[in-house]
Amino acid sequence: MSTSTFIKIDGPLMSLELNKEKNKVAVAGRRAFKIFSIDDGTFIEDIDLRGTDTVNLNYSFTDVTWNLKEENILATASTNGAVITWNLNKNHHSKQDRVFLDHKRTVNRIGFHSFEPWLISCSQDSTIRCFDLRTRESGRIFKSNTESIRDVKFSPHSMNTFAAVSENGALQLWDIRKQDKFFLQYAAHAEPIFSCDWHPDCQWIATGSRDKSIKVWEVTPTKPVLKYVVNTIASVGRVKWRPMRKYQLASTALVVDWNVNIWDLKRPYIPFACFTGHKDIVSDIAWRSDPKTILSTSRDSLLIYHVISDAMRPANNANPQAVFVNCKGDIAYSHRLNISTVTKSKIPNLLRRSTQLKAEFNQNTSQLNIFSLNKYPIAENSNDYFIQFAMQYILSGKSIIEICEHNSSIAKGLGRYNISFVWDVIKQIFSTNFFECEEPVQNEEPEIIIADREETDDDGEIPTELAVALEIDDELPELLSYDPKPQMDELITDPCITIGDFLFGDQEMDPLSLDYDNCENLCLGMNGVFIDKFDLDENDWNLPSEAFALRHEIKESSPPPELLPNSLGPFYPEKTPVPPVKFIKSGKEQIPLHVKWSQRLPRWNSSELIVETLEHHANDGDFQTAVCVLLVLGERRRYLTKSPLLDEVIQEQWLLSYIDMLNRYKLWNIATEVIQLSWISNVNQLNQHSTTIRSSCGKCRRTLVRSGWLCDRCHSTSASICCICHNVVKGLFIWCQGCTHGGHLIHIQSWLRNNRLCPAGCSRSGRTTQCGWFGRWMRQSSFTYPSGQLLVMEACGIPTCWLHVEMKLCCLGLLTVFLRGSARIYFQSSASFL
Amino acid sequence: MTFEAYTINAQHKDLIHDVAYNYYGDRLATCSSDQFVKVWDQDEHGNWNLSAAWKAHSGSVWKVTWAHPEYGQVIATCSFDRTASIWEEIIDTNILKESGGRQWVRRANLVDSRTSVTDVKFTPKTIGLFLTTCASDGILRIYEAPDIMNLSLWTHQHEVSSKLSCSCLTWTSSFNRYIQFLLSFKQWYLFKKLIKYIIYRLHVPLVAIGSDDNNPSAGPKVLIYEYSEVFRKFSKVADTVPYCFDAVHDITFATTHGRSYHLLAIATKNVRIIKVKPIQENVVNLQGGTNKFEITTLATFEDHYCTVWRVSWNVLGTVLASSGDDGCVRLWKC
Repeated sequence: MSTSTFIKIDGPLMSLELNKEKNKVAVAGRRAFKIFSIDDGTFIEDIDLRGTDTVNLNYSFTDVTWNLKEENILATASTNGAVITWNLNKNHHSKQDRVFLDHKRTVNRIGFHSFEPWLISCSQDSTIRCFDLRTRESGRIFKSNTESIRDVKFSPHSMNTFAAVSENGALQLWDIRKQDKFFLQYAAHAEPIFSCDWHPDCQWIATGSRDKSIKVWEVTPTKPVLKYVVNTIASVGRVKWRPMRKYQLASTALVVDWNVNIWDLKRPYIPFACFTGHKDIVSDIAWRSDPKTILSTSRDSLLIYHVISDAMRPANNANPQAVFVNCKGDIAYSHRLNISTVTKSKIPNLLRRSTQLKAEFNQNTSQLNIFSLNKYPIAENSNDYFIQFAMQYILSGKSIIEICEHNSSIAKGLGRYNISFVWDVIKQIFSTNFFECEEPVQNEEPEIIIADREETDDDGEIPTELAVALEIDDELPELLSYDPKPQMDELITDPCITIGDFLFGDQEMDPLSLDYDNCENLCLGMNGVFIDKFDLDENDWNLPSEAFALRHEIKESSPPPELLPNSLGPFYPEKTPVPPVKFIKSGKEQIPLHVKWSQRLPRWNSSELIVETLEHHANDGDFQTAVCVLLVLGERRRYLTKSPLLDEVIQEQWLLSYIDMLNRYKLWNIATEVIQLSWISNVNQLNQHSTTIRSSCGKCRRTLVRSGWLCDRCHSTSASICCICHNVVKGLFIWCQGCTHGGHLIHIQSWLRNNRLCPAGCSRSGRTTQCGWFGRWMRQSSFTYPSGQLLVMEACGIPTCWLHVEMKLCCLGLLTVFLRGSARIYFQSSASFL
Repeated sequence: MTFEAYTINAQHKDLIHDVAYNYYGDRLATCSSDQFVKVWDQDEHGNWNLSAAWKAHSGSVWKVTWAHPEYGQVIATCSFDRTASIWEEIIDTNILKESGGRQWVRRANLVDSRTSVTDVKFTPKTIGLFLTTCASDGILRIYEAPDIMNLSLWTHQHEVSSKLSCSCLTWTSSFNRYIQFLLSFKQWYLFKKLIKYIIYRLHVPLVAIGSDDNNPSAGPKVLIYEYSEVFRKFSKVADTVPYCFDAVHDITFATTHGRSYHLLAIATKNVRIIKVKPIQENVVNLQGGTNKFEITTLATFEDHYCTVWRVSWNVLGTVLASSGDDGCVRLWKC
């Protein structure tokens, strides 16, 4: 028989029992008592012993048992306390033999002696009775002096011994000849025991309790010895040893779990196998003679024949390994020990796993390793790069050229030449006034076009220079072949981008505009090829002063150029008037030709390239470069974001990613700097949240209301006493985060000049420097930290940390805050304190 | 890369099923079938010391995960005993001992599952304090802590059934923040700016679950759901990961960090890396319709030649670590 089968019986089932040959099963419940033959896994109903009587409480069964000697004798227990014996050999319609009505309350379990004609029963009325089937008298009574007895079992090893377990957690051993008292009692569990079972071979008894554990006791003459404990997930209802397997037993649960679990005592934490199929609590189980099949009944009125090959093996689905990479690049790895070495072969996994299954179940120790990255050399460790870059980059405070140069040299110093190159490129693009002259041109050019060539359509938008150029000059193959989105690599390696080739070709030269065109060409060339040594001086771009006069002429004839959106102006105040002049001048004299020129020679739109570069880096996981470039660009980044290429949402995400990473590495100062420099309101608001810390009394732990040094409730000032002068500090209180001792700023300062130990003598010297000192203005009961204020304590000559207020902590009292050692707190002191 | 190996004598009495670093990488939690969870702290010299150990469940503890430190020192565990638990480290000020009086207490026990809870994850911080669990009966549940100061209150928000026994789950973590406007969503027309964020948000939060069902005919074993915060519901991403029919043991999204796509690593009989790219629609999805995703397999690594159990990305999403039955941890770099 290889598969599980089941049969549905009317009414919930409470118990089942197999006969001696294990080919028949009796099932009993509140409304059923039937006997089935088991034939090759299928159930055939033999007899229905109960009939249809629904009134008689004698037939509300709680347990059934089969005489192990005479196989026609059965016994049942009932909820009303009746114990009934049944004889299948009776010819009468009713097979009922005898009824014992001795118990006053529900009989929980009954059991036959293996060869004597004794029937033993235990009941809620805290008594055990033993009936001798040969006599017609009511049996011997054993008073347990405990609460209700839940289970009772004759020992298979000594004929006069039986075990009883009770609801107060006691395991009792009785000699059947001594009615007055048990010979051994032991508090086996702290909670009710519902079931016990003798091991078929050893002097072991297993008990299952509501405390979710199964305990295995070795019975010795003096006292039981606890051998094994199995922790299950729910109260244990039934326990049964598995035949022919010394260390295995099956259990059912009273709540939650509808499975039949088989446990291996050698690995008591996870079931060896689970039989599923029931839809309600499993009430009873019985092994057949072999260890491979088990029968179970349940309150869902199913009788199931389980085969072990159908069982679930939870241990197989449990992963034996774990890997986790932390933000420092360290790898925690745990794995099963004694893995049989798997040779590299391509045998399908399934085959090999199945053969190893048994061996694997008992290999249940793990080893935990941590592989930490070697700090040196820094190469290959992207996390170290990240930290180094974050710490060394300059993001603001200098001119863009200096910042770019600095950052580029840092990248170079760390061997990241591609990043260094990005900074160089940024520097070149934004340091020359080529870029800066481009903006006004973009605005004004359309106007010129409209003025000169009316056929150019104007839909109110500013067409990009390139689009216009292509539209108009489609007779020029050189221009068409010009890649509108130049790839940096191509440009660098492309030898054919030379000035003459690209710009002049066979076009007619205009002698008047030659100078300017030349300049422009040079500039374009420079941007394309990035010739570092060709250092373009800004002065080269200053136009002759005559240009200014001319500009005004044109201004009258055409609508006045609109100012660039918002803040672009202030950044190029001295240069904005310059570039248009060039066009105006040439336009004045050679209008048609010049327009063609200006359109055909579009300035290279570097914004696309920059955006593309940044996105490329971000997609490579190097969002740091992207964020830093954007930060360094400052307001110039509008130039990039004006194009739809770089959505603000993407920028926000980069920024938030960067801030998150900085937080991970505890680079709070840099994170604050980034937040402050950021231009997206969502990000900028980050350090406006949760900046208030309330303080509470050091004694009664209530929140301080009026002042920081006196508690209104307990009138204690103990937390604010200077540990040097022993006076109450009413001004600035400086304390060590490690030991919480502190005092006046002046006292602590002078103390620390000569000493390293805490002035209170708590020998926390090491902690002071690590934790830093923290100042608190005692006049206020709470204070708000203005965001991003740094470095005040350092000025006092005291080592300082910076406060990173973790949201959760803010609402706790200040004293509680620094006592929470597990929480990492970093204090930022603020200028407004002092 | 060179690594120094450091062995911790964890003294778990059974297999260790999961290890998890905290946000900063200086605390480590381990969980085991012996029903214990242990927390290890790294000292200044880089040594790992046992900081706490307690019996967390009455069954094997499958997974352990840390919450963002903003919510305190909080971990979540899930177990064979069909529950998931939230634990918080508190300071008992009455005991100022060696350990600093620190103690882990159970804040909540989530008992909704009828079967073993196989994985537990906090959602990315941007969504709020949510916890997701998946169970071997295939039900994915999401719980919310409405009050982050009260970790004992978790409301069962939603559940979705995948009909396959789940073994693992993972969230995308991107840093867009859009939770703030949810409360005022009904008045969204008053807040033009908010609408913009609904429209232009870069990444919809996705959750992927993997199934360890061994039957290849049961369909794809990796399912991706899109979580709509506006409607608080999951909807299956229409074209869910194809070609993945073998039992999946672990699954992890890399932190997105401003990429335009998500990287999903799958541990099955081999290591697979899947790219999930939202097809940029910029269309308001107010009806709760699903977005479109382009799902492609980037790489398949067979080098383990046996079952791969776990995968883990580094924090930048550039290096993937995988471990398999061959006893090796392999690092993959894109």
